[in-house]
Amino acid sequence: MDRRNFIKIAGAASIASLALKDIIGKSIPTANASDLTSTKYENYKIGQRVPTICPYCAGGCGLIVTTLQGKIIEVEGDPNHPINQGATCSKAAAALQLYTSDRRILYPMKRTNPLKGKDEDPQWQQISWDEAYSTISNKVKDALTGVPYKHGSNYYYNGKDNPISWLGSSYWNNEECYLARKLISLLGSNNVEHQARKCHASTVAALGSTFGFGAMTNHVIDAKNSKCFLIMSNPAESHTMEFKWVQEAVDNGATVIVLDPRFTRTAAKAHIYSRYRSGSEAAIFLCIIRYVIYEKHERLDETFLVTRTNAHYKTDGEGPLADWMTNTESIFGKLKALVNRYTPDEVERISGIPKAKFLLVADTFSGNKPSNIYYSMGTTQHSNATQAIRAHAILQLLLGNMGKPGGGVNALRGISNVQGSTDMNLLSHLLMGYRAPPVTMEELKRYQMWKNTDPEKRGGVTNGTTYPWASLSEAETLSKVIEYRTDARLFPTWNSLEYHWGVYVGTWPGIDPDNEPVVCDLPVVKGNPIVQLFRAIGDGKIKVLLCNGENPAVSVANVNMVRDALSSEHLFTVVNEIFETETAIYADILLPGTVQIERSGSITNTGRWIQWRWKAVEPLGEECKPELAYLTELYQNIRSTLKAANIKLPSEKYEDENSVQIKRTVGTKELENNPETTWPSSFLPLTLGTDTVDAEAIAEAVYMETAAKSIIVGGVNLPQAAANVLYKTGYDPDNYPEVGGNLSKRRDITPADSDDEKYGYYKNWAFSWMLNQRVLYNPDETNPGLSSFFVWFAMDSDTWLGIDKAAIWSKKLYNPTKPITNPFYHAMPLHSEPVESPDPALAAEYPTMWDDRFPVEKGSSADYPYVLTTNRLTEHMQAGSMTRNLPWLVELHPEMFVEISSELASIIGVTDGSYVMVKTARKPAGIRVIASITDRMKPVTVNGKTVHQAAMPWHWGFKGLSTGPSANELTMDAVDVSAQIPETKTCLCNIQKA
Amino acid sequence: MADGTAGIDSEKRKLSGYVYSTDRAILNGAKVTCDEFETLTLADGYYTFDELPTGMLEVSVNLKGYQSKSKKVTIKDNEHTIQNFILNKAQGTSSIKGNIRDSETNEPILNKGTVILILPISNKYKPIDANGYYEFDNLPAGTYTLSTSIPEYDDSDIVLTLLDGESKLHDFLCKKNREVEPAWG
Repeated sequence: MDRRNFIKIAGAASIASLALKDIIGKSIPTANASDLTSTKYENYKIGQRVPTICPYCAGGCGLIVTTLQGKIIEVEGDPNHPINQGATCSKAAAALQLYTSDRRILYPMKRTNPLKGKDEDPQWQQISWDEAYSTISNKVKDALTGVPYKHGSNYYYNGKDNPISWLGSSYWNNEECYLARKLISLLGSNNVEHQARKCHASTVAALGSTFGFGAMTNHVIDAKNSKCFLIMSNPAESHTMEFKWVQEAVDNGATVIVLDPRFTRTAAKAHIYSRYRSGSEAAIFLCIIRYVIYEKHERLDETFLVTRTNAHYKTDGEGPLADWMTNTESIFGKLKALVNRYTPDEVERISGIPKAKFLLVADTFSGNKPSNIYYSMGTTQHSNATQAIRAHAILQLLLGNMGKPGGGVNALRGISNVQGSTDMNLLSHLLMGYRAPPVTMEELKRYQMWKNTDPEKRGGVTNGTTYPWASLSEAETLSKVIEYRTDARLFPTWNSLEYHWGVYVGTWPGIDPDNEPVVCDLPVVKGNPIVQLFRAIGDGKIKVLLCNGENPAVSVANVNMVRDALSSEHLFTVVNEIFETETAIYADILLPGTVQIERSGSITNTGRWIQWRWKAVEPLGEECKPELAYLTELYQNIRSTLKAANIKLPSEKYEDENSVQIKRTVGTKELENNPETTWPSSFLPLTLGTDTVDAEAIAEAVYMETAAKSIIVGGVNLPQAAANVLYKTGYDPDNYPEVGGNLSKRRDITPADSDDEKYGYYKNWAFSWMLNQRVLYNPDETNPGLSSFFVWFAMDSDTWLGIDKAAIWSKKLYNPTKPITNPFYHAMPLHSEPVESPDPALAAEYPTMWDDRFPVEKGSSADYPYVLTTNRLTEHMQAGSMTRNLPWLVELHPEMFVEISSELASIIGVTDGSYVMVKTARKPAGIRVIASITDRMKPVTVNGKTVHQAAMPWHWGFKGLSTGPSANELTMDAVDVSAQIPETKTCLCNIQKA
Repeated sequence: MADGTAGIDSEKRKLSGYVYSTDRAILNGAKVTCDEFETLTLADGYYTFDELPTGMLEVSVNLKGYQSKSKKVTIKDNEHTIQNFILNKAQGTSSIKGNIRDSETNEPILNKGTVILILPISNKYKPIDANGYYEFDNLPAGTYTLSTSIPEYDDSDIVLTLLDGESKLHDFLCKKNREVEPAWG
């Protein structure tokens, strides 16, 4: 593709169909060495085709890379891929430039300018990988010196106090994310975060506490089965290929409703559109719920509510109630009472959606089943986002739209592997597969008893105290159902990690756990989530930041605070990147990463499809190191340095200080508490300085570790073979020898059965968690995996309802000590105003959920009268680290801007294309940007007053081919208190002529 | 890592060196001053000055938590002088100690969590003991930030200034955190 063709394709509604017919899987190269000298077309015809998955959004589109003699000839859409069927958006169409860019970082470098700051040139100096590893290892060692491993008589590292932190990355493959979590855990730290915290943390918290899993419930292609869409997002621009399936549904008669503060390209395709005030999402959905309950009672799916939710019980678990529909004490009755205030008039007052338009929205959505909710950052980045998304989920439960093709609550995740990186838990409060790290000594003692109960399989002692509630019935007898259920989720994963990570977890010697010291090599206690992590860096608690494929100097709300923290003179920062990003400017060491087609591995798309992408070419520069090789060597070097300084695992310290040897036995095999025996993988341990580090082999081995269906150790089948419970059975060599057991490599579009053909499950293509189920909670799906909800709506021992009741009332979000205006008081959602509300009266009436747990700069509507929201563009990706370095994309969108209405422009006194200063309390001096005066923006009427809104893309920063001020210099760093996601999407601003 | 003169090179009147501690910690962010010039050590402990005035100059290194050190160096035209430093950890006679209590109940928080004393290279940590007590001793005079890190409690920070030989008592009253955070998935 050349520039002219690129522009043509990018301009054609971002969707281009490339006519390729004959590519199935990996083809065999037919070229000779001399062939590369012929024309590009000739090279293309004889080149090798290698399938890969797009590195940008989470749609999971297939691309085909054509190479010849190690050179990339072309990158284009994969015509055999079921999601994009050969089409691409403009970013993927320009992917060739990403791989061949002369702006790539090609070798390790260290800064020689001791001053750090946005305007400081790092004055890079090339170094060797050995020097980089040596410096990093020594700085890790220095930081860990004196960190306590002994607390009273117990031996463990506190995961929050640990001064080593890790960031990233959703652009990395699953195996890389897994190994990163393994690495930072082995250093005793839970100070690990990545992009997922900033995009869909609230989705995971809301859907997890309602349904059981926090992911998109259906999948990309399933949109074709919907009869109606309520879209709170802009997929035509940010998830272009996913939107293709919405359009297919429209071709079959579906209706599209779009609600968005801006009139977007998605809105342009809608049958019904309304703008609204950013921050009122919960109120809008509560009003639709009210509409269904009070106005369209017949649309409630009573059978579904009774069989699959807790609507017909009381909040204390009493029930089921025969009169639940009318009983004010039932959960349904409480919901009905709670939503009563959200009348169409009230929601017009809060959101600005005119009553008549709202009624049309509510009637259309509830009257056309199966109906589907699409949403993304416009909903997730608010201080009450978890509540708003809970309202999405409750609406779908009321309508019976869950567990069915065409229905669902469908979070459009943003980055190619953000679902996978979340599943691998590069997060401060989770360890692996959404299983939490140990928090209390009591649960670790219980874990030892659990191991003892089945010592052969679990590696415990043979005659010690055993787990007191080994079955649900025993737990019920002892009123320990909460513990039983919690333990049943956590312990198999800890046990699996003991094996795969070469660590010890429990008490020692394990005979009498209640009276023995805890010895735990997993980091105990959750770490700092993203905003608090940078506050901890700024405070000096964190000494080392290992930042990988992530650009927090642009992407985090109130980035001023982040940049100050990164400038701390005693912070040691390592950045692994492909381009010199804004964050890299603050690094002490900058390492050259690789792009996705230079290495192999699996990634998980927004619809939970786990797909393999094959390596197509060698890394661009000789020093560009595949991430799995980097991770492997990094830990080997750190471990060696730490051991020399006598900084070891808690179990090793226990052994040294007590002259014992801690062992555990599985079957006939004795296992060491030594991560060197399982690094980088229990399937492929490698010794520093002896074994060759082959990233391709490591990718295969780590995939097996995360997804194994079964592992025989010492003659015993481990109770949970896969390190990540969500991915189990994804490696199954007995049943899938044609792909070497790696189900993510499957590329068979043949339907598995008639339902597969009808609904487009594509169950022979790749793999999806869990157990290859394509629509979560769908009891009608062949081989359904998870056919039922499995949330605990009430965890008290006497109110356990079983595993298939979705939580309209969720005890996990219940705190009766909160004020009655707070959703936690009800364990059901309410509307709460943003931290910065444009209307003081509404702010008093619907108080913000933000609890001032840490100080943030807040502005008033008197000083900052307009609402500022942020958005994405088709041509750029997130913090712009990749796309602002690519000439074709920069040419399409070269400069930062703010979109405002003509009405607001008149007030400010500016014309289209002139510069304005946009100011918030985080940056009172403001940032200078071009004003785009457009009918896409219009004021809304909120509580009887005109409220003007402005919108800014958040892709820009001060490095790259295209530079500009960052929207996150203005945004709010208060967070949703359930999910710790910053309120990036709504704040108050002022705009003045520059 | 020898001190002395490296010889003639293209960089005029240059002074550089590495700064480490006696236990071989790399001391990055240490302030190095020479004549009226000032710089900071890099991540590998390296510092450098270019185009210094010729003659005998005093170069000194300061880093909180370590004993400052000064040395005389002679800067000559067309010579690159190397001066490394190995700093001793600062020792003093001051101390900070106190109890950790729940702000609502005033009950001591026992055997749980840590008090962190923030220092440039390696923080100091004191696990809260069975009596809910912590103590940092042998501190030199100076201003210190302390922070608690206790499961189920919000962090609590304090900045204290100690004089030589002073023993300061500071009790932390910690608030239970207010989180209502569901498990994910």
